[in-house]
Amino acid sequence: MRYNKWKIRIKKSRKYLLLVPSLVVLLSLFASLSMLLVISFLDKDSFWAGDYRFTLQNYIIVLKQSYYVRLLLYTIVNSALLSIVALILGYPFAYILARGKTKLKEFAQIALVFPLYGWVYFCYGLVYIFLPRGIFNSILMGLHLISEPIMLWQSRLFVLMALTLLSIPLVVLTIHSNILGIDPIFEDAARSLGANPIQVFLRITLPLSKTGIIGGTLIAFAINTGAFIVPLIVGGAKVDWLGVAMYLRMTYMMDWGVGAALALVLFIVTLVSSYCYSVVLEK
Amino acid sequence: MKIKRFLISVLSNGYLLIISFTLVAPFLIIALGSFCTDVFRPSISNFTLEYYFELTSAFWRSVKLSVIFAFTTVICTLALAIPAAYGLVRYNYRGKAFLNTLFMSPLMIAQSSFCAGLMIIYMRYIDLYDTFWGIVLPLVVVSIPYTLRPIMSSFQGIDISIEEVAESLGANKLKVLVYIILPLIGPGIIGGTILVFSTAINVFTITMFLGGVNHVPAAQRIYVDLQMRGLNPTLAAEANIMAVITLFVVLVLTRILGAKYLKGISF
Repeated sequence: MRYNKWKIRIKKSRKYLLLVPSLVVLLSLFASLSMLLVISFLDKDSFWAGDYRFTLQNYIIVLKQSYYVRLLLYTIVNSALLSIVALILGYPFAYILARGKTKLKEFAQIALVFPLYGWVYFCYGLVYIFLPRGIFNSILMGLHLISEPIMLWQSRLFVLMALTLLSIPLVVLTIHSNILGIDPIFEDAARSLGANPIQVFLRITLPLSKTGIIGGTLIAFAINTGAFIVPLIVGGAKVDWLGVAMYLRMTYMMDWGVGAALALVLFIVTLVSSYCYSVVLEK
Repeated sequence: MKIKRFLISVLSNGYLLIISFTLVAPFLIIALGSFCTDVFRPSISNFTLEYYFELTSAFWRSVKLSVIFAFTTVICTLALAIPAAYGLVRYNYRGKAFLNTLFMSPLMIAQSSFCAGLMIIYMRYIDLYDTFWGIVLPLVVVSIPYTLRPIMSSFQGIDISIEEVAESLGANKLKVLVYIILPLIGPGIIGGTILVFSTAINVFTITMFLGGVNHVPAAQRIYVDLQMRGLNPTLAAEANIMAVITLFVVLVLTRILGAKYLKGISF
Protein backbone atom coordinates (compact mmCIF):
# COMPACT_ATOMS: atom_id res chain seq x y z
CA MET A 1 0.00 0.00 0.00
CA ARG A 2 2.67 2.38 1.10
CA TYR A 3 4.77 1.36 -1.86
CA ASN A 4 1.96 2.19 -4.25
CA LYS A 5 1.51 5.60 -2.74
CA TRP A 6 5.16 6.35 -3.31
CA LYS A 7 4.96 5.03 -6.80
CA ILE A 8 2.11 7.35 -7.62
CA ARG A 9 3.94 10.25 -6.10
CA ILE A 10 7.06 9.52 -8.14
CA LYS A 11 4.98 9.17 -11.26
CA LYS A 12 3.34 12.51 -10.52
CA SER A 13 6.61 14.30 -9.89
CA ARG A 14 8.23 12.82 -12.96
CA LYS A 15 6.91 15.60 -15.12
CA TYR A 16 8.93 18.04 -13.04
CA LEU A 17 12.09 16.12 -13.88
CA LEU A 18 11.72 17.30 -17.47
CA LEU A 19 12.08 20.91 -16.38
CA VAL A 20 14.66 20.54 -13.64
CA PRO A 21 17.88 20.54 -15.72
CA SER A 22 17.04 23.71 -17.60
CA LEU A 23 15.77 25.40 -14.46
CA VAL A 24 19.07 24.62 -12.77
CA VAL A 25 20.93 26.28 -15.63
CA LEU A 26 18.57 29.26 -15.55
CA LEU A 27 19.36 29.56 -11.86
CA SER A 28 22.67 31.17 -12.85
CA LEU A 29 20.65 34.08 -14.18
CA PHE A 30 19.14 34.72 -10.79
CA ALA A 31 22.40 34.04 -9.01
CA SER A 32 24.02 36.67 -11.17
CA LEU A 33 21.28 39.23 -10.56
CA SER A 34 21.20 38.70 -6.82
CA MET A 35 24.98 38.95 -6.78
CA LEU A 36 24.68 42.32 -8.48
CA LEU A 37 22.04 43.40 -6.02
CA VAL A 38 24.12 42.39 -3.01
CA ILE A 39 27.35 43.84 -4.25
CA SER A 40 25.80 47.15 -5.21
CA PHE A 41 24.98 47.66 -1.53
CA LEU A 42 28.39 46.56 -0.25
CA ASP A 43 31.33 48.66 0.73
CA LYS A 44 34.09 48.44 -1.89
CA ASP A 45 36.86 47.00 0.28
CA SER A 46 34.77 44.96 2.67
CA PHE A 47 33.83 42.47 -0.03
CA TRP A 48 37.41 41.35 -0.54
CA ALA A 49 38.21 41.54 3.16
CA GLY A 50 35.36 39.16 3.86
CA ASP A 51 33.41 41.26 6.36
CA TYR A 52 30.36 42.45 4.56
CA ARG A 53 29.55 46.03 5.44
CA PHE A 54 26.42 47.34 3.84
CA THR A 55 26.29 50.87 2.53
CA LEU A 56 24.34 53.03 0.13
CA GLN A 57 27.49 54.72 -1.05
CA ASN A 58 27.51 53.19 -4.54
CA TYR A 59 24.07 54.47 -5.35
CA ILE A 60 24.95 57.84 -3.88
CA ILE A 61 27.94 57.98 -6.20
CA VAL A 62 25.78 57.08 -9.18
CA LEU A 63 23.13 59.63 -8.33
CA LYS A 64 25.40 62.40 -7.11
CA GLN A 65 28.10 62.46 -9.76
CA SER A 66 26.57 64.36 -12.61
CA TYR A 67 28.58 62.19 -15.02
CA TYR A 68 26.52 59.09 -14.26
CA VAL A 69 23.19 60.88 -14.27
CA ARG A 70 24.01 62.46 -17.59
CA LEU A 71 25.22 59.11 -18.93
CA LEU A 72 22.01 57.43 -17.89
CA LEU A 73 19.82 60.11 -19.38
CA TYR A 74 21.97 60.26 -22.49
CA THR A 75 21.66 56.50 -23.07
CA ILE A 76 17.92 56.30 -22.42
CA VAL A 77 16.92 59.45 -24.32
CA ASN A 78 19.10 58.59 -27.27
CA SER A 79 17.99 55.00 -27.53
CA ALA A 80 14.38 56.16 -27.40
CA LEU A 81 15.06 58.72 -30.12
CA LEU A 82 16.88 56.34 -32.38
CA SER A 83 14.24 53.67 -31.96
CA ILE A 84 11.75 56.21 -33.23
CA VAL A 85 14.03 57.09 -36.15
CA ALA A 86 14.35 53.38 -36.90
CA LEU A 87 10.57 53.13 -36.76
CA ILE A 88 10.15 55.99 -39.20
CA LEU A 89 12.68 54.43 -41.56
CA GLY A 90 11.41 50.90 -41.03
CA TYR A 91 7.66 51.34 -41.22
CA PRO A 92 7.47 52.17 -44.96
CA PHE A 93 9.88 49.30 -45.57
CA ALA A 94 7.69 46.84 -43.69
CA TYR A 95 4.55 48.20 -45.33
CA ILE A 96 5.96 47.87 -48.84
CA LEU A 97 7.25 44.41 -47.98
CA ALA A 98 3.84 43.31 -46.75
CA ARG A 99 1.45 45.05 -49.13
CA GLY A 100 3.40 46.43 -52.09
CA LYS A 101 3.72 44.78 -55.46
CA THR A 102 7.44 44.62 -56.05
CA LYS A 103 9.84 42.02 -57.32
CA LEU A 104 12.42 43.01 -54.72
CA LYS A 105 10.72 41.32 -51.79
CA GLU A 106 13.03 38.32 -51.74
CA PHE A 107 16.12 40.52 -51.93
CA ALA A 108 14.85 42.87 -49.23
CA GLN A 109 14.11 39.99 -46.88
CA ILE A 110 17.58 38.57 -47.35
CA ALA A 111 19.08 42.03 -46.81
CA LEU A 112 17.34 42.23 -43.44
CA VAL A 113 19.04 39.03 -42.30
CA PHE A 114 22.55 40.41 -42.89
CA PRO A 115 22.65 42.94 -40.02
CA LEU A 116 20.41 40.78 -37.84
CA TYR A 117 22.92 37.97 -37.52
CA GLY A 118 26.20 39.49 -38.62
CA TRP A 119 25.85 42.67 -36.60
CA VAL A 120 29.43 42.49 -35.30
CA TYR A 121 30.76 42.47 -38.85
CA PHE A 122 28.22 45.11 -39.86
CA CYS A 123 29.97 47.41 -37.39
CA TYR A 124 33.41 46.65 -38.80
CA GLY A 125 32.06 47.35 -42.28
CA LEU A 126 30.60 50.67 -41.17
CA VAL A 127 33.95 51.66 -39.72
CA TYR A 128 35.56 50.85 -43.07
CA ILE A 129 33.08 52.95 -44.99
CA PHE A 130 33.48 56.01 -42.80
CA LEU A 131 37.25 56.01 -42.38
CA PRO A 132 38.89 59.36 -43.23
CA ARG A 133 40.14 57.79 -46.46
CA GLY A 134 37.07 55.61 -46.84
CA ILE A 135 34.48 55.40 -49.58
CA PHE A 136 32.06 57.85 -47.97
CA ASN A 137 34.63 60.60 -47.59
CA SER A 138 36.23 60.05 -50.99
CA ILE A 139 32.84 60.29 -52.72
CA LEU A 140 31.93 63.49 -50.91
CA MET A 141 35.35 64.95 -51.59
CA GLY A 142 35.17 63.91 -55.21
CA LEU A 143 31.92 65.85 -55.49
CA HIS A 144 33.60 68.83 -53.77
CA LEU A 145 30.91 68.87 -51.10
CA ILE A 146 33.46 68.86 -48.31
CA SER A 147 37.08 69.97 -48.34
CA GLU A 148 38.26 67.89 -45.39
CA PRO A 149 37.30 64.32 -44.54
CA ILE A 150 34.65 64.00 -41.85
CA MET A 151 35.96 62.09 -38.86
CA LEU A 152 33.03 59.95 -37.85
CA TRP A 153 34.77 56.96 -36.31
CA GLN A 154 34.82 57.10 -32.52
CA SER A 155 32.31 59.91 -32.42
CA ARG A 156 28.96 59.95 -30.66
CA LEU A 157 27.02 60.52 -33.85
CA PHE A 158 28.52 57.40 -35.38
CA VAL A 159 27.37 55.22 -32.49
CA LEU A 160 23.83 56.53 -32.83
CA MET A 161 23.93 55.94 -36.57
CA ALA A 162 25.13 52.37 -36.23
CA LEU A 163 22.53 51.56 -33.59
CA THR A 164 19.77 53.06 -35.73
CA LEU A 165 20.77 51.01 -38.75
CA LEU A 166 20.97 47.87 -36.64
CA SER A 167 17.50 48.47 -35.18
CA ILE A 168 15.84 48.73 -38.60
CA PRO A 169 15.62 44.94 -39.15
CA LEU A 170 14.10 44.42 -35.71
CA VAL A 171 11.46 47.06 -36.26
CA VAL A 172 10.75 45.86 -39.79
CA LEU A 173 10.34 42.21 -38.79
CA THR A 174 7.94 43.05 -35.96
CA ILE A 175 5.79 45.40 -38.04
CA HIS A 176 5.94 43.16 -41.11
CA SER A 177 4.46 40.17 -39.31
CA ASN A 178 1.89 42.48 -37.74
CA ILE A 179 0.75 43.94 -41.06
CA LEU A 180 0.63 40.48 -42.61
CA GLY A 181 -1.76 39.54 -39.82
CA ILE A 182 -4.23 42.28 -40.79
CA ASP A 183 -6.96 40.93 -42.99
CA PRO A 184 -6.79 42.83 -46.32
CA ILE A 185 -10.57 42.67 -46.38
CA PHE A 186 -10.71 45.75 -44.13
CA GLU A 187 -8.67 47.74 -46.56
CA ASP A 188 -10.70 46.50 -49.50
CA ALA A 189 -13.93 47.43 -47.74
CA ALA A 190 -12.70 50.96 -47.06
CA ARG A 191 -11.58 51.27 -50.68
CA SER A 192 -14.90 50.08 -52.03
CA LEU A 193 -16.66 52.62 -49.80
CA GLY A 194 -14.78 55.35 -51.61
CA ALA A 195 -11.76 56.06 -49.44
CA ASN A 196 -8.64 57.11 -51.27
CA PRO A 197 -5.36 55.22 -50.64
CA ILE A 198 -4.11 57.80 -48.14
CA GLN A 199 -7.31 57.61 -46.15
CA VAL A 200 -7.18 53.82 -46.22
CA PHE A 201 -3.67 53.89 -44.89
CA LEU A 202 -4.25 56.53 -42.21
CA ARG A 203 -7.56 55.28 -40.92
CA ILE A 204 -7.35 51.50 -41.43
CA THR A 205 -3.82 50.14 -41.78
CA LEU A 206 -2.01 52.47 -39.42
CA PRO A 207 -4.36 52.03 -36.44
CA LEU A 208 -4.50 48.27 -36.98
CA SER A 209 -0.71 47.99 -37.01
CA LYS A 210 -0.44 49.81 -33.69
CA THR A 211 0.74 46.67 -31.89
CA GLY A 212 3.55 46.20 -34.35
CA ILE A 213 4.59 49.81 -34.07
CA ILE A 214 4.70 49.80 -30.27
CA GLY A 215 6.29 46.36 -30.12
CA GLY A 216 8.95 47.16 -32.69
CA THR A 217 9.89 50.42 -30.99
CA LEU A 218 10.02 48.77 -27.57
CA ILE A 219 12.24 45.90 -28.66
CA ALA A 220 14.56 48.32 -30.44
CA PHE A 221 14.64 50.48 -27.32
CA ALA A 222 15.43 47.54 -25.05
CA ILE A 223 18.22 46.31 -27.26
CA ASN A 224 19.70 49.76 -27.83
CA THR A 225 19.77 50.58 -24.14
CA GLY A 226 21.49 47.31 -23.40
CA ALA A 227 23.87 47.67 -26.34
CA PHE A 228 27.46 47.08 -25.41
CA ILE A 229 29.49 45.69 -28.29
CA VAL A 230 28.24 48.10 -30.94
CA PRO A 231 29.22 51.30 -29.06
CA LEU A 232 32.50 49.66 -28.14
CA ILE A 233 33.51 48.81 -31.71
CA VAL A 234 32.10 51.87 -33.40
CA GLY A 235 32.69 54.45 -30.71
CA GLY A 236 35.79 53.23 -28.96
CA ALA A 237 36.04 53.06 -25.19
CA LYS A 238 35.68 56.81 -24.80
CA VAL A 239 32.11 57.00 -26.02
CA ASP A 240 29.35 57.32 -23.46
CA TRP A 241 26.98 54.41 -23.35
CA LEU A 242 25.69 52.82 -20.22
CA GLY A 243 26.90 49.31 -21.06
CA VAL A 244 30.39 50.48 -21.97
CA ALA A 245 30.74 52.63 -18.85
CA MET A 246 29.59 49.69 -16.75
CA TYR A 247 32.12 47.40 -18.41
CA LEU A 248 34.98 49.83 -17.81
CA ARG A 249 33.99 50.27 -14.17
CA MET A 250 33.79 46.52 -13.70
CA THR A 251 36.97 45.44 -15.44
CA TYR A 252 39.56 48.18 -15.72
CA MET A 253 38.74 50.10 -12.55
CA MET A 254 37.67 47.00 -10.59
CA ASP A 255 35.06 49.18 -8.91
CA TRP A 256 32.42 46.49 -8.62
CA GLY A 257 30.04 48.38 -6.37
CA VAL A 258 29.38 51.25 -8.76
CA GLY A 259 29.57 48.87 -11.74
CA ALA A 260 26.93 46.64 -10.17
CA ALA A 261 24.69 49.62 -9.48
CA LEU A 262 24.97 50.64 -13.15
CA ALA A 263 24.36 47.05 -14.29
CA LEU A 264 21.21 46.89 -12.17
CA VAL A 265 19.90 50.12 -13.63
CA LEU A 266 20.59 48.73 -17.09
CA PHE A 267 18.89 45.48 -16.14
CA ILE A 268 15.77 47.22 -14.86
CA VAL A 269 15.40 49.47 -17.91
CA THR A 270 15.76 46.58 -20.38
CA LEU A 271 13.57 44.27 -18.33
CA VAL A 272 10.71 46.76 -18.11
CA SER A 273 10.78 47.60 -21.80
CA SER A 274 11.05 43.98 -22.94
CA TYR A 275 8.30 42.97 -20.57
CA CYS A 276 6.09 45.69 -22.06
CA TYR A 277 7.07 44.33 -25.48
CA SER A 278 5.90 40.82 -24.66
CA VAL A 279 2.69 42.13 -23.09
CA VAL A 280 1.93 44.31 -26.10
CA LEU A 281 2.56 41.52 -28.58
CA GLU A 282 0.51 38.93 -26.74
CA LYS A 283 -2.61 41.10 -26.63
CA MET B 1 -3.59 57.15 -63.25
CA LYS B 2 -0.96 55.16 -65.05
CA ILE B 3 1.68 57.74 -64.29
CA LYS B 4 0.66 57.76 -60.64
CA ARG B 5 0.93 53.98 -60.40
CA PHE B 6 4.30 54.07 -62.10
CA LEU B 7 5.48 56.75 -59.68
CA ILE B 8 4.33 54.72 -56.69
CA SER B 9 6.10 51.60 -57.91
CA VAL B 10 9.30 53.56 -58.59
CA LEU B 11 9.17 55.15 -55.16
CA SER B 12 8.47 51.95 -53.27
CA ASN B 13 11.05 49.97 -55.21
CA GLY B 14 13.56 52.73 -54.73
CA TYR B 15 12.95 52.87 -51.01
CA LEU B 16 13.33 49.11 -50.65
CA LEU B 17 16.54 49.23 -52.67
CA ILE B 18 18.08 52.11 -50.73
CA ILE B 19 17.45 50.65 -47.29
CA SER B 20 18.40 47.12 -48.32
CA PHE B 21 21.58 48.39 -49.91
CA THR B 22 22.48 50.37 -46.79
CA LEU B 23 22.04 47.24 -44.72
CA VAL B 24 24.17 45.11 -47.04
CA ALA B 25 26.82 47.69 -47.99
CA PRO B 26 29.09 47.19 -44.94
CA PHE B 27 29.37 43.49 -45.77
CA LEU B 28 30.20 44.27 -49.39
CA ILE B 29 32.88 46.71 -48.27
CA ILE B 30 34.44 44.11 -45.99
CA ALA B 31 34.46 41.55 -48.81
CA LEU B 32 35.94 44.03 -51.30
CA GLY B 33 38.48 45.27 -48.81
CA SER B 34 39.74 41.78 -48.13
CA PHE B 35 40.23 40.93 -51.81
CA CYS B 36 41.80 44.15 -53.11
CA THR B 37 45.13 45.75 -52.35
CA ASP B 38 43.48 49.17 -52.24
CA VAL B 39 40.23 49.10 -50.36
CA PHE B 40 39.23 52.50 -51.61
CA ARG B 41 39.72 51.87 -55.33
CA PRO B 42 38.68 48.27 -55.84
CA SER B 43 39.09 46.78 -59.30
CA ILE B 44 40.11 43.50 -60.89
CA SER B 45 43.66 44.76 -61.46
CA ASN B 46 44.43 44.92 -57.77
CA PHE B 47 42.69 41.69 -56.87
CA THR B 48 44.69 39.72 -54.36
CA LEU B 49 44.39 36.87 -51.93
CA GLU B 50 47.48 37.73 -49.93
CA TYR B 51 45.57 38.96 -46.90
CA TYR B 52 44.05 35.56 -46.47
CA PHE B 53 47.50 34.01 -46.34
CA GLU B 54 48.65 36.62 -43.85
CA LEU B 55 46.07 35.62 -41.25
CA THR B 56 47.75 34.82 -37.98
CA SER B 57 47.59 31.46 -36.30
CA ALA B 58 46.04 33.24 -33.31
CA PHE B 59 43.07 34.13 -35.48
CA TRP B 60 42.63 30.55 -36.71
CA ARG B 61 42.80 29.34 -33.13
CA SER B 62 40.02 31.81 -32.31
CA VAL B 63 37.90 30.58 -35.20
CA LYS B 64 38.35 27.03 -33.99
CA LEU B 65 37.34 28.08 -30.51
CA SER B 66 34.25 29.88 -31.82
CA VAL B 67 33.16 26.81 -33.75
CA ILE B 68 33.70 24.58 -30.72
CA PHE B 69 31.71 27.02 -28.60
CA ALA B 70 28.91 26.98 -31.15
CA PHE B 71 28.70 23.17 -31.35
CA THR B 72 28.91 22.69 -27.59
CA THR B 73 26.23 25.30 -27.00
CA VAL B 74 23.93 23.72 -29.57
CA ILE B 75 24.27 20.26 -28.06
CA CYS B 76 23.84 21.42 -24.46
CA THR B 77 20.92 23.70 -25.29
CA LEU B 78 19.08 20.99 -27.22
CA ALA B 79 19.64 18.48 -24.42
CA LEU B 80 18.03 20.93 -21.99
CA ALA B 81 15.37 22.44 -24.21
CA ILE B 82 13.77 19.34 -25.76
CA PRO B 83 12.64 17.80 -22.43
CA ALA B 84 11.58 21.21 -21.13
CA ALA B 85 9.55 21.94 -24.26
CA TYR B 86 7.95 18.49 -24.08
CA GLY B 87 7.00 19.06 -20.46
CA LEU B 88 5.67 22.56 -21.00
CA VAL B 89 3.46 21.45 -23.88
CA ARG B 90 2.28 18.04 -22.66
CA TYR B 91 1.80 18.47 -18.92
CA ASN B 92 0.05 20.90 -16.64
CA TYR B 93 2.13 22.56 -14.00
CA ARG B 94 1.16 24.83 -11.20
CA GLY B 95 1.98 28.34 -12.35
CA LYS B 96 2.53 27.43 -15.98
CA ALA B 97 2.36 31.01 -17.21
CA PHE B 98 5.08 31.92 -14.75
CA LEU B 99 7.21 28.99 -15.94
CA ASN B 100 6.79 30.11 -19.53
CA THR B 101 7.91 33.62 -18.65
CA LEU B 102 10.79 32.19 -16.66
CA PHE B 103 12.07 30.24 -19.63
CA MET B 104 11.81 33.27 -21.89
CA SER B 105 13.44 35.59 -19.34
CA PRO B 106 16.99 35.42 -20.75
CA LEU B 107 15.67 37.29 -23.78
CA MET B 108 14.45 40.14 -21.61
CA ILE B 109 17.67 40.82 -19.77
CA ALA B 110 20.60 42.83 -21.04
CA GLN B 111 23.37 40.31 -21.66
CA SER B 112 25.99 42.67 -20.31
CA SER B 113 24.46 42.97 -16.86
CA PHE B 114 23.95 39.21 -16.65
CA CYS B 115 27.60 38.67 -17.50
CA ALA B 116 28.73 41.33 -15.04
CA GLY B 117 27.06 39.49 -12.19
CA LEU B 118 28.47 36.17 -13.32
CA MET B 119 31.94 37.69 -13.51
CA ILE B 120 31.81 38.61 -9.82
CA ILE B 121 30.61 35.12 -8.90
CA TYR B 122 33.32 33.47 -10.99
CA MET B 123 36.08 35.62 -9.55
CA ARG B 124 35.05 35.40 -5.93
CA TYR B 125 33.24 32.10 -5.36
CA ILE B 126 33.44 29.55 -8.18
CA ASP B 127 36.69 29.34 -10.04
CA LEU B 128 35.25 29.39 -13.55
CA TYR B 129 36.69 32.66 -14.85
CA ASP B 130 38.37 32.20 -18.22
CA THR B 131 37.40 28.54 -18.49
CA PHE B 132 35.57 26.82 -21.33
CA TRP B 133 32.54 25.74 -19.32
CA GLY B 134 32.34 29.07 -17.57
CA ILE B 135 31.67 30.64 -20.95
CA VAL B 136 29.40 27.88 -22.23
CA LEU B 137 27.07 28.24 -19.22
CA PRO B 138 25.86 31.79 -19.99
CA LEU B 139 25.80 30.94 -23.69
CA VAL B 140 23.41 28.08 -22.98
CA VAL B 141 21.28 30.26 -20.71
CA VAL B 142 20.96 32.89 -23.40
CA SER B 143 20.23 30.27 -26.07
CA ILE B 144 17.50 28.32 -24.27
CA PRO B 145 14.63 30.63 -25.34
CA TYR B 146 15.76 30.50 -28.97
CA THR B 147 15.43 26.72 -29.11
CA LEU B 148 12.50 26.44 -26.76
CA ARG B 149 10.14 28.56 -28.84
CA PRO B 150 10.41 26.69 -32.16
CA ILE B 151 10.49 23.27 -30.46
CA MET B 152 7.44 24.11 -28.38
CA SER B 153 5.52 25.17 -31.44
CA SER B 154 6.51 21.89 -33.12
CA PHE B 155 5.24 19.91 -30.15
CA GLN B 156 1.98 21.81 -30.26
CA GLY B 157 1.59 20.62 -33.83
CA ILE B 158 1.88 16.93 -32.94
CA ASP B 159 -1.19 14.98 -31.98
CA ILE B 160 -0.62 13.20 -28.68
CA SER B 161 -2.52 10.16 -29.99
CA ILE B 162 0.38 9.35 -32.31
CA GLU B 163 2.56 8.64 -29.29
CA GLU B 164 -0.20 6.65 -27.65
CA VAL B 165 -0.73 4.54 -30.76
CA ALA B 166 2.96 3.73 -30.92
CA GLU B 167 2.98 2.77 -27.26
CA SER B 168 -0.12 0.62 -27.58
CA LEU B 169 1.50 -1.18 -30.48
CA GLY B 170 4.29 -2.21 -28.17
CA ALA B 171 6.99 0.44 -28.61
CA ASN B 172 8.86 1.34 -25.45
CA LYS B 173 9.52 4.93 -24.39
CA LEU B 174 12.92 5.09 -26.06
CA LYS B 175 11.55 3.82 -29.34
CA VAL B 176 8.75 6.37 -29.24
CA LEU B 177 11.31 9.10 -28.65
CA VAL B 178 13.65 8.07 -31.44
CA TYR B 179 11.14 6.98 -34.09
CA ILE B 180 8.15 9.23 -33.39
CA ILE B 181 8.92 12.36 -31.42
CA LEU B 182 12.32 13.40 -32.73
CA PRO B 183 11.45 13.13 -36.43
CA LEU B 184 8.23 15.06 -35.89
CA ILE B 185 9.85 17.96 -34.08
CA GLY B 186 12.73 17.95 -36.56
CA PRO B 187 11.90 21.33 -38.12
CA GLY B 188 11.71 22.99 -34.73
CA ILE B 189 15.04 21.50 -33.70
CA ILE B 190 16.69 22.64 -36.91
CA GLY B 191 15.27 26.14 -36.62
CA GLY B 192 16.48 26.46 -33.05
CA THR B 193 19.86 25.00 -33.91
CA ILE B 194 20.46 27.51 -36.67
CA LEU B 195 19.56 30.41 -34.40
CA VAL B 196 21.74 29.19 -31.56
CA PHE B 197 24.67 28.28 -33.77
CA SER B 198 24.73 31.65 -35.48
CA THR B 199 24.57 33.57 -32.21
CA ALA B 200 27.01 31.33 -30.36
CA ILE B 201 29.64 31.45 -33.08
CA ASN B 202 29.66 35.25 -32.73
CA VAL B 203 29.96 35.17 -28.95
CA PHE B 204 31.46 38.47 -27.87
CA THR B 205 29.73 40.14 -24.91
CA ILE B 206 30.06 37.03 -22.78
CA THR B 207 33.76 36.55 -23.41
CA MET B 208 34.46 40.25 -22.91
CA PHE B 209 33.34 39.80 -19.31
CA LEU B 210 34.10 36.17 -18.56
CA GLY B 211 36.96 35.17 -20.83
CA GLY B 212 40.55 36.13 -20.28
CA VAL B 213 43.46 35.69 -22.65
CA ASN B 214 42.93 31.96 -23.03
CA HIS B 215 39.45 32.14 -24.52
CA VAL B 216 39.23 34.75 -27.24
CA PRO B 217 36.62 33.85 -29.87
CA ALA B 218 36.91 35.11 -33.42
CA ALA B 219 34.57 38.10 -33.13
CA GLN B 220 36.55 39.35 -30.18
CA ARG B 221 39.91 38.56 -31.80
CA ILE B 222 39.02 40.97 -34.60
CA TYR B 223 38.29 43.64 -32.00
CA VAL B 224 41.60 42.96 -30.25
CA ASP B 225 43.43 43.21 -33.57
CA LEU B 226 41.63 46.48 -34.28
CA GLN B 227 42.94 47.84 -30.99
CA MET B 228 46.48 46.56 -31.52
CA ARG B 229 47.16 47.19 -35.18
CA GLY B 230 44.46 49.59 -36.35
CA LEU B 231 42.34 49.02 -39.41
CA ASN B 232 44.05 47.07 -42.15
CA PRO B 233 42.98 44.72 -44.96
CA THR B 234 43.90 41.66 -42.88
CA LEU B 235 41.20 42.72 -40.47
CA ALA B 236 38.73 42.87 -43.34
CA ALA B 237 39.72 39.35 -44.34
CA GLU B 238 39.14 38.12 -40.80
CA ALA B 239 35.76 39.84 -40.57
CA ASN B 240 34.82 38.54 -44.00
CA ILE B 241 35.54 34.92 -43.09
CA MET B 242 33.37 35.11 -39.99
CA ALA B 243 30.58 37.02 -41.73
CA VAL B 244 30.52 34.43 -44.52
CA ILE B 245 30.34 31.53 -42.06
CA THR B 246 27.51 33.18 -40.09
CA LEU B 247 25.49 34.19 -43.11
CA PHE B 248 26.04 30.82 -44.76
CA VAL B 249 24.55 29.10 -41.74
CA VAL B 250 21.62 31.48 -41.56
CA LEU B 251 20.81 32.08 -45.20
CA VAL B 252 21.72 28.87 -46.97
CA LEU B 253 20.72 26.41 -44.29
CA THR B 254 17.40 28.13 -43.63
CA ARG B 255 16.76 28.30 -47.36
CA ILE B 256 17.30 24.56 -47.58
CA LEU B 257 15.58 23.61 -44.37
CA GLY B 258 12.72 26.10 -44.46
CA ALA B 259 12.58 29.71 -43.34
CA LYS B 260 9.79 29.26 -40.84
CA TYR B 261 11.74 30.05 -37.71
CA LEU B 262 13.93 32.91 -38.82
CA LYS B 263 13.35 35.27 -35.93
CA GLY B 264 15.02 36.41 -32.78
CA ILE B 265 18.30 38.08 -32.03
CA SER B 266 20.52 39.18 -29.20
CA PHE B 267 22.78 42.19 -29.16
